[in-house]
Amino acid sequence: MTHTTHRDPSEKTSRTSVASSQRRARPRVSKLWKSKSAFIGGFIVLTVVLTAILAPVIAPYDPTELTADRLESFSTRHFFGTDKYGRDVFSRVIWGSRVSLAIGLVASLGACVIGSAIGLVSGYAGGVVDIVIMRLIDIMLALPLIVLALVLVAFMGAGLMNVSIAVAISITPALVRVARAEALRYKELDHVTAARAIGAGPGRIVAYHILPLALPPILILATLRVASTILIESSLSFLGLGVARSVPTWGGMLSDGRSYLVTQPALTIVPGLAIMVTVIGFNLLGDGLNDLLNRRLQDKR
Amino acid sequence: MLSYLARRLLLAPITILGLIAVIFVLVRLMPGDPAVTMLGDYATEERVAALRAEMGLDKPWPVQFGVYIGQLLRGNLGESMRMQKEVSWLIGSFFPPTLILALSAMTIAVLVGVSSGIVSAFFHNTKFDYGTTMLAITAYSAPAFWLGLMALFVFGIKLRWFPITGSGSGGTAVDVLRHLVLPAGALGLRQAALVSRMTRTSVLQTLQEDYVRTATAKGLRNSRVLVKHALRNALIPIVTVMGLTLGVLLGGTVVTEVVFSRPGLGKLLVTSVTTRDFQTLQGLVVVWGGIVILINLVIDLVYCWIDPRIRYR
Repeated sequence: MTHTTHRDPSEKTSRTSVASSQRRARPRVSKLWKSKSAFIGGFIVLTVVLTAILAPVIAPYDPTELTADRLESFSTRHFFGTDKYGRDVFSRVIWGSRVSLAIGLVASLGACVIGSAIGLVSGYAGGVVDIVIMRLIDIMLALPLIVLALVLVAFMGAGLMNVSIAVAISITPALVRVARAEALRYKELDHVTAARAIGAGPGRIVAYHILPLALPPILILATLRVASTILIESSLSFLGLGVARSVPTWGGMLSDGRSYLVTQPALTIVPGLAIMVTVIGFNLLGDGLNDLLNRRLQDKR
Repeated sequence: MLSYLARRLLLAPITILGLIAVIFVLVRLMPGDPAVTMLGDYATEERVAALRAEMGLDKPWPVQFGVYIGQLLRGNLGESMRMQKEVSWLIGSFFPPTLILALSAMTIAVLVGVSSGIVSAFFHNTKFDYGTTMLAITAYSAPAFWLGLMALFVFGIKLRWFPITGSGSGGTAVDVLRHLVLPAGALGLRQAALVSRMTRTSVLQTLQEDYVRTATAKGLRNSRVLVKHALRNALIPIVTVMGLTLGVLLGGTVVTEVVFSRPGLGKLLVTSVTTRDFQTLQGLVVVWGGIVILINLVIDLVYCWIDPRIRYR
């Protein structure tokens, strides 16, 4: 889902004009302000991150504390009511952001590091290495994300660490593909040939001469992938195959609240909204960054 | 053209074989002896050994793999010890509802996505365009199972328009359709958003092409330029996204089936994961992966057909 305003026909002519290229030569921070989606997305992401960090301060109650006030509805004491064990839903939503963000960020970062390493090596090395790696990636891509994650959880077992690993592995293939494409694009460039001519080894070339060029698109994809990881994690928790049930998670809350859809719909509506807003944040941020990068590439041309 | 086709046709079976090999090894790496699982912890060593021999577990892995492939080719996926049923029977009976669900969701995704995308592109940078963009991002960011729950709440519980559980199998066609609307809608909406964005981008890009300008310049009406000239070429990326969509939708059925208590492969998968029924899991992965690989192959062939330029790559 990329925003395509920069591709509008009306802009095609202005792109070539001198005035507009000077306009675009302004510092990038001001561009970040200009890209509304990056700004709104960044704002949402920042809010969620702050919420997760400050959870103990913000949440009015202990999210795991069982009380006798079961299934209460909205009130000034409990903003979103209480669940079947009398736990404060507002506090649980606040604390739930921690698991979603932790898994989302850790898995995406891990996949980003491993995926780009494998992809760059595969693309740069070529030959048998490339063929073998790409076939393995094809095999992984043959299974839908959630199915792959489920299968991995089946083999490794649930829990915070295993779910993070399973989710990370599930999203790695896409990152490998992008990194490989970037390596193919840059490996024949003059500066790479020059480095090879003065005797730089493959590892050095990939790390110092290709990685810096390949990094922006990889980071953008990784940002967008945080959104997918959060969705996968919530699906796994919803299915009861995520982190331990005692830990408050949005997916787990949805699964618990589901039985009370008729009497207490807030139990289902609130955690779902939390997931949606967070995912919108990462999607907008990724989209916005993508727009900015594309504009920068156009400027270079 | 021929070499491209040959390459694609050769790669698909290799990928499927690779998938089978990977899952085969993974299942065998799992702790626990299937023979012991079947007979219970108190079985004598002789009985376990006899059953292992009968199941072929005493042979080396490559031999076992050969036997497994041989069975696969004859449509035999082994037996689920937990459910006491043939895996191929389980998958065969759970496949139709999942396929129907995925195809209905796909129909919704394509109809809603392509039409809204074209209209968005045609009225780009207007309020309508911004509105659809916002809607698309929202729909794309909501978990499918949550959309399903919300649909259940509004249309099933509050308005009582549609039934809330089951697949309506055994009932009339109307019954089956009534059971399909909510899950297919919830599942399809998210992909509709993706298809819509893709269509918009693709149509906008095509509208910039020289031949479109030529068509306009020679005096054709806007609608004719759009339908006859722009849409045909804009279709190419849309076909890709549709192929990916079917794969994603098949995956999306997992949670949707659980939400709507519909029988299907997704539910079978979740059950096999929670009960650690590896035989069923193995069969499911092989079938599921095989289907997706075949879909991708078909997409590549369709690609070749609608865009002759690809043949020369």
